Amino acid sequence: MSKLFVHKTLIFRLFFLSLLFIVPWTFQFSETDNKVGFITEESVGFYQTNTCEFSLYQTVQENIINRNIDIWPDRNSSVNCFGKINGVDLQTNKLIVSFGTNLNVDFLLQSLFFLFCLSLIPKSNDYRFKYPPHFSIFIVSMLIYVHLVGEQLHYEYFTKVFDLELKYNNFFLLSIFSTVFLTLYIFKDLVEKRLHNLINFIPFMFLFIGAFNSLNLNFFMLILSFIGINAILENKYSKKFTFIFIIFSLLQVYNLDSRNILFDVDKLKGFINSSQNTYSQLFWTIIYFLTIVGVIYIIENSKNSLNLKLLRKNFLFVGTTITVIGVVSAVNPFVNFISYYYLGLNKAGIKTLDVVAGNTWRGLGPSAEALGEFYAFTILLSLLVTFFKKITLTKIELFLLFVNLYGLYKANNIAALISLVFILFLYSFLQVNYNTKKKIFVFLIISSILLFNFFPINYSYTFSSKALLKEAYNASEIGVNLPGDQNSDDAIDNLNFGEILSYSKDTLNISNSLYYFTNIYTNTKDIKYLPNTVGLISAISLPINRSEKWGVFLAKYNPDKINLNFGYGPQQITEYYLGHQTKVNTGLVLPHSSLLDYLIFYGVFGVLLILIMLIRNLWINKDNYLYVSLLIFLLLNFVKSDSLLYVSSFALFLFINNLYKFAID
Amino acid sequence: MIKNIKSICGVGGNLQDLEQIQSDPNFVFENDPNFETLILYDIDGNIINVNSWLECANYVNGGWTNTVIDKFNGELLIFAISVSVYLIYKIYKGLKNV
Repeated sequence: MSKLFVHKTLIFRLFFLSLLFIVPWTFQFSETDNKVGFITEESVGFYQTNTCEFSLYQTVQENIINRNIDIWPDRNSSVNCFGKINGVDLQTNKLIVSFGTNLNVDFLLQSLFFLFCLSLIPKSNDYRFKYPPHFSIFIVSMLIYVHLVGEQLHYEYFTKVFDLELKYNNFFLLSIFSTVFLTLYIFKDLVEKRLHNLINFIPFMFLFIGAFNSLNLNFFMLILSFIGINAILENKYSKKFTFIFIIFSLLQVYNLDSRNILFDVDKLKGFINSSQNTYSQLFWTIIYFLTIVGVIYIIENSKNSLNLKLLRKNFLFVGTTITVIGVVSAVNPFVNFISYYYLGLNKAGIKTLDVVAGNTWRGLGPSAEALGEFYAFTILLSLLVTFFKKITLTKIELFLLFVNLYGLYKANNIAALISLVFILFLYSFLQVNYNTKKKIFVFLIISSILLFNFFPINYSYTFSSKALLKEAYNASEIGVNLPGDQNSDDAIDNLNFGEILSYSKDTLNISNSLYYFTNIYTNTKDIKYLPNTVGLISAISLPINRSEKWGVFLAKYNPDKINLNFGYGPQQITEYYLGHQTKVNTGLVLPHSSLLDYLIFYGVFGVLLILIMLIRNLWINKDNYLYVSLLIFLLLNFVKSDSLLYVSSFALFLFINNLYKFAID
Repeated sequence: MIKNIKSICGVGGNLQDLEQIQSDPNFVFENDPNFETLILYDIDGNIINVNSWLECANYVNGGWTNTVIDKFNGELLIFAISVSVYLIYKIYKGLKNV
């Protein structure tokens, strides 16, 4: 009987999967005698005229080995043209074949696929939410409505039928609400049977990223918010955190300068505010809060369910799968498109196996940095669990570990590699039973040797201490013509920033932060043997290849007092990005530091509070070496990467920050 | 038609080029980086992105326009599918609990 049930379930799942995978890309409503052929430069005109006729399935049949095409989603498509060729364009040496995708279809189809994936997580002990799901679903639906109102500029680009009027025949909205209801209703049933096991499957968030193709939303954010609302209803949330968060949010909303501007979310899709108005600010504030509360709720309810062996296996498996799909999608445009769509990637996988224009290989990841961090974290966790928790690696896991090493090599994230080695040393060192002073001494010696080996410093301190300001001024539209010397070099070329300060602040168009940093560098009285603060930050930024990016940050970051102290709000980057005119106001140039990202979001006080919380946690749990090692690894990497702008890394950080709560031993 | 072309595509192009390309069925339009991509619709609800004035004029000349002429309500279909999936799921769940 049991076997029969398993058999039936498998058939049902396969049937459902084929519905999700095949049907949307096969249907052909139009009646045409034309046949899709091998797409060449000569046939471009034909496909430009005969749009919305040929399905992806037909195209795959004829073009599976066509190396001259790239496939892109055409996100402006109608439902009718979903999954069909909507245009072919010639761009440099490639033919860009655009397949229609549609906001409403994406939302339903991708949600159902992610639910299907969740259903594959093995069941644990049943858990019951105290309250029926309807209220939570209603709140999430209202939040999404607020989101659509707030980010109209973003959505109007993707759909011609965008209509927010609440009326019975507005099927654009009705289909969105019905999808939210369906998704969360099924999710509630799935999660109640798997809540305790979710935490062991957190690595899969790096494979199934959850970003919707044409919505600035992420599937995981929606379901975590649903759990977050339940946590609040059940009174299982931190009152202290809520109080502080509300204070910050009120100040941020009060100080918000509403403007009709649009931030192109690009690879941050699904976890960044694209607009700057009260509605969008409210949405991101609430959803961010609920997501955190949701994650903490899962952690609190899974304290006895963490299985390190399973967690390690899942990390290794996910890392391997990302590598394999990344490689296949680099050579096959159809796999590239399908993996982008169904895995909910922020950005389609890289279409080559080589290094392109100085960028390293990022596989399926939004950036090589984030991908490299993931591989390094996987390797670190695997080694720590194997050697220090004495959980032996199987032969298959050993093989998977090597694939992850290959992934790290391809991603070429040197910082992640160095921090991996550093943490392994730290952990080994902590395990040795010497007295504390000896430990610290040996550790410092080893880390210094390592650091000097990896970072050959070829610059004088004078240059490196000014590199940051130089980059900042290079990115600024300073607003005055600086006179040149006999070689036509101006104050910036000569690194003579004090001269710039001789102009009044009002005539200069430099950001507040750059003005402040220049002032500190130039006018602060030096204390003997202590380096200047700005000079020190600059000297650190140079060998880790961050002087340019952090310089751009200084050029752009122009907060007023409240924004400086309390930030612009969760995931609110628009004012930072577009508010102050610099030479870098187009293209996605991020600060390349999660610390700086959070300085934008929560200001100096917010960052300080987060740092205090982290240091406090580390200090209290200093004997939990696994926790200390993994958290320090993440923090080191976050200083020089934007990873916290991605849902998967954010969730991993929340998990590791709370790792001490789990009964591991 | 010329009025339509001018109102949808702008006044930036040469109508004589349009006449020339009509006699060449294999003509390939080249992207104009200075032309902001426009979305055009036909009577069947098909969509096309045009990337140059000439391409835009060619399609408008062929009856395409920049407003939706959609007889098929796709959003209604998606709504109906999601409601149906919900009902099927409810029935499946009910049967499983029996």
